[in-house]
Amino acid sequence: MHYLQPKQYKVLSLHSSANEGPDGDVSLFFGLSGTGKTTLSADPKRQLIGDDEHCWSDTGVFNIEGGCYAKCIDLSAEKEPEIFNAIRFGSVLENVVLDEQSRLVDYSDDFLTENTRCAYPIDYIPNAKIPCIGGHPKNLILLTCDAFGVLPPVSKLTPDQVMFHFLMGYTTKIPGTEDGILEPQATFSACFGAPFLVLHPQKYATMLAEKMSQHQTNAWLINTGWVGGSAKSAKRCPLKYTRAILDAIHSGALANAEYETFEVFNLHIPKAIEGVPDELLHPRRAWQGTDAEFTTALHSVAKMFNDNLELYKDQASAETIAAAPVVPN
Amino acid sequence: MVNFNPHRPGSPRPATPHTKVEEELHEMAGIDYDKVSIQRNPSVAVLYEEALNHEYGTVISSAGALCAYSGKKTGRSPKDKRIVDEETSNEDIWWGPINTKISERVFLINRERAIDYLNTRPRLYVFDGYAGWDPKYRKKIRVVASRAYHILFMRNMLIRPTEEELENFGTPDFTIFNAGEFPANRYTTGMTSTTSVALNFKVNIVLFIIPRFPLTIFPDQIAFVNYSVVKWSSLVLSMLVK
Repeated sequence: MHYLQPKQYKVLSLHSSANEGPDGDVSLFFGLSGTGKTTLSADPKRQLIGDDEHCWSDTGVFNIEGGCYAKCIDLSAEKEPEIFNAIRFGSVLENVVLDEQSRLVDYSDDFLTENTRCAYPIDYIPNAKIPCIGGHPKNLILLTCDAFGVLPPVSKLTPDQVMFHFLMGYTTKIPGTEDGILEPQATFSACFGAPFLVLHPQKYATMLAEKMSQHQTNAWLINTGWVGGSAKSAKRCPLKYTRAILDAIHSGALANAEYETFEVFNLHIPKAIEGVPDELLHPRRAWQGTDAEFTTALHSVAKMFNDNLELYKDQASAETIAAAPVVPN
Repeated sequence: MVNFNPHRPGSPRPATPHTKVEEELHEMAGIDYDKVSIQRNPSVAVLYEEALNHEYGTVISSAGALCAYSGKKTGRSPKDKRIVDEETSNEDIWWGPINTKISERVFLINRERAIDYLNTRPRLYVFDGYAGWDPKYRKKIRVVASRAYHILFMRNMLIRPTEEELENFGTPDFTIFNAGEFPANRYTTGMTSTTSVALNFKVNIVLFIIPRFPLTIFPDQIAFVNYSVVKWSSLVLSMLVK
């Protein structure tokens, strides 16, 4: 029996998707379910390196998997043609409902489960990059869907802030909205994939910050959720604005933009982005309710972050703790 | 070799000597190669035929995809993941609700149970492939399963070797025994349910032990492993950062 030697490689495994631009610039996308990781990494202008699991080694990133395991509830040829067309001879489908005679799949039918799935080789995706290998990432994109409406649509992160937000893995869920209005629920999953971790999350976070500094990688926190109010009163940030933000990141324009500092979370917010209304960029200015309501919401979300940080305090680094939000008394 | 039909293309002949994979599995885990037939890296077409012939409930969609069902119970709890508490890795592991300990002995008991189960199956399948696209860092993964469907799933999710790579594959870095449909031993310490995904970083083995779904609802329903929760690649590749 061959034994693997622990600590053999300085390779970081990450629960993320990855794509590559025409000039070879690589972006890694992190985010929990519902934050837009799959949607945003499927970009016709960029080749897909992988949709779920990557390693960052001394030479760059590589996909771990040779295939994709995608959700297929409500899948359609119009919305997601790449995935739809990848489901053919050789692919497998789990728990989908078929027509008794024609054997056509009804992807909208959740009779057996909502978690219907397909698995197909990555070369079934037309713009996949084969072999699925790229250089060192130029941009790390941390996605969150903040239904409280307090995080900016985009902010630039320092390496310490990357460690902090990576350790937190924050997003929100909105329980069924049909029976009137329900409060959004905060969800935290360390390293954006806690169930898969084997080591303490700070170890992954530290390695990520080290590699980021070593390779001058930029990092961004993108809120694909609500701005201007919480999910109770406002509309979700339109996808076209999120795409415009990503275009500005990939063109390099955003890295050279002018920034202002956002209170409590100390995030760096760009003052202007082409194709995005200026007032949307700052959550307090975009807020449609009263100023006091915004302050209350902001402080309450910051407190959830700080409560969650308590779970990791025993091993969290001083730099990570220093990047936590500061709520004024 | 038993349970072969000499009229089917590719059926082993009685006098066929044991293959290298059969010898290796016998040596490593006690797979009884005289009782089971073992196919290594079968083609997609062969996997379809095997699944449709032997795995009740498997059908083909109009687009040609192979469909499998697990009844009403889908999704697996991350709480079913177990990691063996052993000296080569235990200082590195983040023990807690996400990573639950089992002893080496309990692992061995469950491994034995998984092997016993696999030895009762007439047909076993092996898929050898890679995790990680970079040749410098990739890991050689061997999957052993009793269902062709599981092998097709893993064939899609792992990196498929070329014929030459398969020829010179050598010893796997990590072996996954999929004894789906067979309950783990609940009376062994640390096993709270009959479902178990157990990792042993010392001997580089993952066991998937997943019971059948309620027999009363779907009498002949064959369960499959839903890998989405405790994903194989994360488990295997998490070793790299130890």
